Amino acid sequence: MSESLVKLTINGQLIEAPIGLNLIEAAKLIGVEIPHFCYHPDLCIAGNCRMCVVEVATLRTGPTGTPILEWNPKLTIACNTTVVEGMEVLTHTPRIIEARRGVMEFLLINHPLDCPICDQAGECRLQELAMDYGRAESRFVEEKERKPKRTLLGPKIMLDDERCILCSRCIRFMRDVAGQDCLGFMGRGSRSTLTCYPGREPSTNYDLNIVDLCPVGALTSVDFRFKQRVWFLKQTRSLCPHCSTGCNIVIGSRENTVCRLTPRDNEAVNQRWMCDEGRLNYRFINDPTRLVEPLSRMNENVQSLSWDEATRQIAERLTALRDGGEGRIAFIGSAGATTEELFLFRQLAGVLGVTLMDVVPHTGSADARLLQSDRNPNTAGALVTGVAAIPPGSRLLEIAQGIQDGRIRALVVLNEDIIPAGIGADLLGKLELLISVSRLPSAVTEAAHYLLPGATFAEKSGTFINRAGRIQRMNPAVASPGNARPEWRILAGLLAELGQPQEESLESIYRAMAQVLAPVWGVTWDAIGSQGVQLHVD
Amino acid sequence: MTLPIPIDLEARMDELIRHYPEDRRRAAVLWVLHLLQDHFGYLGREQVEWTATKLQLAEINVWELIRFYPMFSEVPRGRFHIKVCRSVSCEQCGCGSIFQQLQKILGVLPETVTPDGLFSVSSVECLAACGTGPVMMINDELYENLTPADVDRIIAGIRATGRIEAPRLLPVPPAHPLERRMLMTAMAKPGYTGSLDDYLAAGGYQSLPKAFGMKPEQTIREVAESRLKGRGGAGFPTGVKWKYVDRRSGKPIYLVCNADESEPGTFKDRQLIYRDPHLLIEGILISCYAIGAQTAYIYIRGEFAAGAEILARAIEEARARNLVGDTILGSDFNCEIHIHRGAGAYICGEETGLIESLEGKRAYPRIKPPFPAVKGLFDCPTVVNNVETLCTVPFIIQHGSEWFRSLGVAGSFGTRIISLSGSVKRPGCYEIEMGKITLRQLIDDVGGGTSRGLPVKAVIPGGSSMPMLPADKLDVTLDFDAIQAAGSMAGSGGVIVLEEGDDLVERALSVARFYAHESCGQCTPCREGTLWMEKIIERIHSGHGRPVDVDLLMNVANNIDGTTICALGEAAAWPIKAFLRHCRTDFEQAVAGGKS
Amino acid sequence: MAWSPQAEGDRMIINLGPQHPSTHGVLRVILELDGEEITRLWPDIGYLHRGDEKIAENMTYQQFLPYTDRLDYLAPLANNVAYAYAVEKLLGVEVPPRCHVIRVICCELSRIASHLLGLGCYAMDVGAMTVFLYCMREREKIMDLFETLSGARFTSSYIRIGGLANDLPPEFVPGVRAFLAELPAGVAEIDGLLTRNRIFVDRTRDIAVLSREQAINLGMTGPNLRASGVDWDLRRAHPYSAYPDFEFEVPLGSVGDCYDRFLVRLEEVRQSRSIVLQALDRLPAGPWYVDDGKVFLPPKTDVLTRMEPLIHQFMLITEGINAPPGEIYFSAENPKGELGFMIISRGGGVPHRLKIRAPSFVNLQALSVMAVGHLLSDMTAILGSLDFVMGECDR
Repeated sequence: MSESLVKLTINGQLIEAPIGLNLIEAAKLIGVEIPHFCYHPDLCIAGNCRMCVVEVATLRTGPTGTPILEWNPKLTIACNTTVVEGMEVLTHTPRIIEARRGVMEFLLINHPLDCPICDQAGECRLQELAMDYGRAESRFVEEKERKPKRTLLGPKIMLDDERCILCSRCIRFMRDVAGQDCLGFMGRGSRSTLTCYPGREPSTNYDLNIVDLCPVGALTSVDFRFKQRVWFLKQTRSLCPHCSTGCNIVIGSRENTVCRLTPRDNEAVNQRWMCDEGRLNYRFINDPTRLVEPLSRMNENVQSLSWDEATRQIAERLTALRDGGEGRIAFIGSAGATTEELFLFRQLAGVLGVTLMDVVPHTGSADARLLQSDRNPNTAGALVTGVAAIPPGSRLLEIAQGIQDGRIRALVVLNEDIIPAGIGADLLGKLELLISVSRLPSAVTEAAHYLLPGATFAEKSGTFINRAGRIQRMNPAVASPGNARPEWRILAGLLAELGQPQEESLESIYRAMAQVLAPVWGVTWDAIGSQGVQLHVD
Repeated sequence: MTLPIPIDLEARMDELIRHYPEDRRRAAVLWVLHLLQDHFGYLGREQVEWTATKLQLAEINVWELIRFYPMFSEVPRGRFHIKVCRSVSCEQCGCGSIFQQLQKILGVLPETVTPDGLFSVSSVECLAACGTGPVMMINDELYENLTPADVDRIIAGIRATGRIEAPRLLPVPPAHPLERRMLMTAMAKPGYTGSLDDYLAAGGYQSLPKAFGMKPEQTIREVAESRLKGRGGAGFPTGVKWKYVDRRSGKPIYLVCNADESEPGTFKDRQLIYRDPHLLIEGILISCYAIGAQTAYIYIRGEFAAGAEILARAIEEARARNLVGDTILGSDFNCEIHIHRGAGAYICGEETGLIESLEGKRAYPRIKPPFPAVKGLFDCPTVVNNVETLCTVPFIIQHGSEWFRSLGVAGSFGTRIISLSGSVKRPGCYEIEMGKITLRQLIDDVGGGTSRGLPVKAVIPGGSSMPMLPADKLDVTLDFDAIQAAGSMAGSGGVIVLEEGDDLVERALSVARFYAHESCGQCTPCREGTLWMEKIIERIHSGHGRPVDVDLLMNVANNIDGTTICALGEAAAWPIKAFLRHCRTDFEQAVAGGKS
Repeated sequence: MAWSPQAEGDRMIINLGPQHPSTHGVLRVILELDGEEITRLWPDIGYLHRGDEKIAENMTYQQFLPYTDRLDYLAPLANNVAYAYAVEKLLGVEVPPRCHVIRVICCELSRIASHLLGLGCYAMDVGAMTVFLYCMREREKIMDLFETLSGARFTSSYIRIGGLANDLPPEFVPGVRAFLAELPAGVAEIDGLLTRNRIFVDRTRDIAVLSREQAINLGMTGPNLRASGVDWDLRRAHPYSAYPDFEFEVPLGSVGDCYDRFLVRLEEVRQSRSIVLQALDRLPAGPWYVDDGKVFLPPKTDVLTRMEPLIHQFMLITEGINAPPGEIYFSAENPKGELGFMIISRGGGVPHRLKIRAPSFVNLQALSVMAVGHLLSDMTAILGSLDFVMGECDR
């Protein structure tokens, strides 16, 4: 689709911009930041903060037919002005700076002195723009307006009306994007107050996005409230593992504790949003019951092992089973594992002569926006690597049957609790060797002969391929607890023990994988970058 | 929906809902709320939820209107709810004494109800009756020229009979020699009732057939060549506005009559609506014909409850004579006129604020462009015109643009109705030929001079939004260009006279309080700045001002001016700046004599 | 394994330091000796390297200020002042007159303290123990004054970008005057014990002579340079702060030997005293910090009661002063010589690169030239006369 471009000048620099682009976005093209509060690229224009004012001149035809550049005598808001051929724009003249100083002052006169207790400090647009454009002293000596300060908008969101600058981003989002028209302004003038009709609190799966949107601390997340100052948070780019959309996220962590997840921009996947289910699903990472040591239950009592010893014993036993006959070992992988882990898993299966393998599907209800019914983040990866059957989960019955018949004597399970998936405790009891790689205890970990503690998505590098065939990267934010380690290291260790030495780093494992897996040919680790690459996957 | 709604009440609502497009039921919300409040006495959660269900809205869409529009109340008010006007002209006339008298004899604080449930009192902003102040409304009736004794008498009467006695309309006095009446001619005839027959007898409904004899474009051209300028406050050339209408969009075109007269000092539209409704109707019909509109809405301020009924009756009278509705006077022109009541917000006088309110939302003015002529009511091309402007149209069509240009002066052709109030002996509406009379003549000759005979201190020439003119500018003629050259604007034609000895700081406070109260709150400078200005002046007035406050006030006003979405920012800033420019010593003295 | 050169022939390599009372800090001097004569010499530095310049790239300009105390830790306030002026040059802000004068007082008191300690150690190493104690006695009074001023005797971080930590406490000026009244007697004692002392003169006269050309070519600055007769003092050559308002002499040596280096410093103490007296007499009233809320923290009462100051407090502390992009160099005449800061800013509150031009680092390289041909026993006199501090040499 070809776009029509127009030429215009911003701060003396000639640029080309597509028709329909507003001046805030046009200025971004040349690295000029026009400050704003109420504007948001995904929401309709409100134009109420008056911070993005600029000076604009447009061409009009003069009396003799020649074009004249006419400067608008009033300052114009940039968000509502679209580019026009021949337009000239100035973004930081003294008059504009003065106007922005006035706007900042107005925004602050009734603002409560909440910074010491406000979660937004450190990522607060009001603080940042006050520093850049506002006065250093206050001229306001009157009483500030009082408004309700601690209202729950549903169980997830806390509203402080005194901090609200009435930009209306939340109202527009709930109405136009989340699809629940539930927020509005009550009252008039300076006493306008953001309110929600009682009993009609936000109840969509996207409510917490308004906490991201809110430029101040008026809307804050109950989950994150008072937990951590954001300037202490390490920000790690990663992916949400909650479903097959693969929303791009940032893990906010401090000293190995994950404090929150927030979305990051990816136009192709999640724009700027993520769903609440995925956002709030991180507490399992720091759960105190996380498995931390390799364990063996081969001799009635539970024994902890070193990784070397566990790897050696497992390799020995699996080799013996392989050499003792065909089809004695089955593999159950996970479509929640990274592509590299699935690749290694498949390799391990090959070395052990395993042909019976599958993954466990997880489904839930989808919503109309981001949340998919496939709750596995890497089903595509499981298919591409050949770990998943087609369709995924269709060979689980066969595995159960095999265990029942006694043909299958050993099962290696990667990050799945297979008991709910149809392979019950009684079946597991028939196995000679059950190896479970897991992060948290479950029924299958209780039954396993060897228990190997793995790592969550927050603790490792790797890729997921989402449902649209986009391969994306995640990065480690926190260290695994105790002796738990990323599954790719566990698998690489096993493969090495079986005489298949592996690369040392995840990145080099990816490279090796990319040479073998057709859809990923030619896609370098760097190319995946922070936004991912669209693959051609059937 | 457990709320018990009488069948005929709901039927009335359904009828009103049909006045709006099928997919725009939301527009009927103010009507529904008015009817529910009249019936139940208040609008609680049940009423909100019922309305939301009825109009297929989210509850918040209804609830957020109630505290935006002061006529609505979430709690029951007294059976007789009293509203005392506190705006600047009434303050000049002593509304404070009326307010105090009410509190004294009712023994109740503002915004609370007497124990017997009979009375409650509010102070409100301008009721568009500045010439007969002090005024108060009890429910839908207006009482003018009040003294404390009147208050006693009226309340006693209500207590005795349990009913309100509707006061009679005061007669229009005969024209002053300096007047040049046109719009006010018919209404001044003794015994004129404003009925269709009276209007016909006075020569009405002759312009309409004449307009039908022209093509619509010709009608527009006639108005354009008359150089008629809008009489609402902005003074925009009416013909030009009509020409901007996008006739090729395929969407219906709307005409909206702005009958939301709320500018303090202005009360002329009230006269036209109450006394000569058919003049307005004829003007609307001709204008619709010109611009290609088949539906017109009269957005009338909620406080003009009686006016809404007068207009509704007049429309039915006209319909009965084939003047409104289908195939008017046998032509192929159809036109429906609907009344739409507001609920108490000055910002609804701003054309896009009005359109938002008409659509059933909070009256937040829109960002322009796009302009209403292209995308207005219901996203369709719309023209919004003031009452007086529309009432002038029949005369232009009847006598021609050249005749119209023989009245007045260049840049200000024709006549306009001046609303004179404040410290004058004879406040009231006076229709003058523009440019042919000075402020001094208006005040001294027509108005009978200042109330106490003291010199004029300053004059606000065009409603409280316009900067005051100091006493040395009284020889300016009353036309757009002359007033602008003198440093103000003709605005709505509301002339407020301030006399020596008046407390100018108190007047400034009254003006600042008005804008702070009326600010819709949408954009930052107006929302925060208007209340800040009020607070600064309040502090100065109460004796706690600091020397820096005078310059601070000026700076705050400057920061509001020119940075807002709509003209309420300028309307709030200009008067304060003018007060400071011309009466700075008054402020400095208040600071110096203060307690801080 | 530390590096060690090979001795030529049957000469001997010995280490002087890094653990040695005369090396004034952790300096390792590798000497090649022919008997007692020094034939070659290598100063081996870096034992006190703490990565200051890299640290500066990870903290805000204000956060780095306490690190400057620990450069030449014998004149912490003077380092603070030089750093503050450097950052203020980057920001384009000018502190008010009172602040300039107070900073001069701090620098000159630091100079007196530094020279007293330097001379005291120098004398002690050469054998005059009493002089050390006399110097310390006077220096203690300065430490007490600094404690009055800032709460800390030593590494006080009293200076702020855009001003000071606090205004002068009321007892400070009288305290300084009292000290300055007593100082001449103390200096006279030192003078009397050393200047015509046969032993001291024998150990320092004509030892480690640096000619003018040598001194300039080796990049020397400070009293060492001036002892060699070069009239170069940044307070005169590139005046800064309030120095243009004060009259003082710049003592110069004529020979450039260890003795001259002693005399120059002793006289500088007297000159510094004179500067401080003038500064006290002409101390202007008025603000002691720049009136710019984007640079200097607002008063705490404002922070707790007013909105913009609260926000500015938050932003200045968490994100630092928003410096414009650019590159500056600023240097001051510190007791040891020219202390310079070069700052490269890419905008924001944290410098992209902060390079410290430390006088001791440059001065120390002269050691290889100065000591050759002298005896091992001369080393203490030479080291003492150079008066360097490893804190700023190694950073």
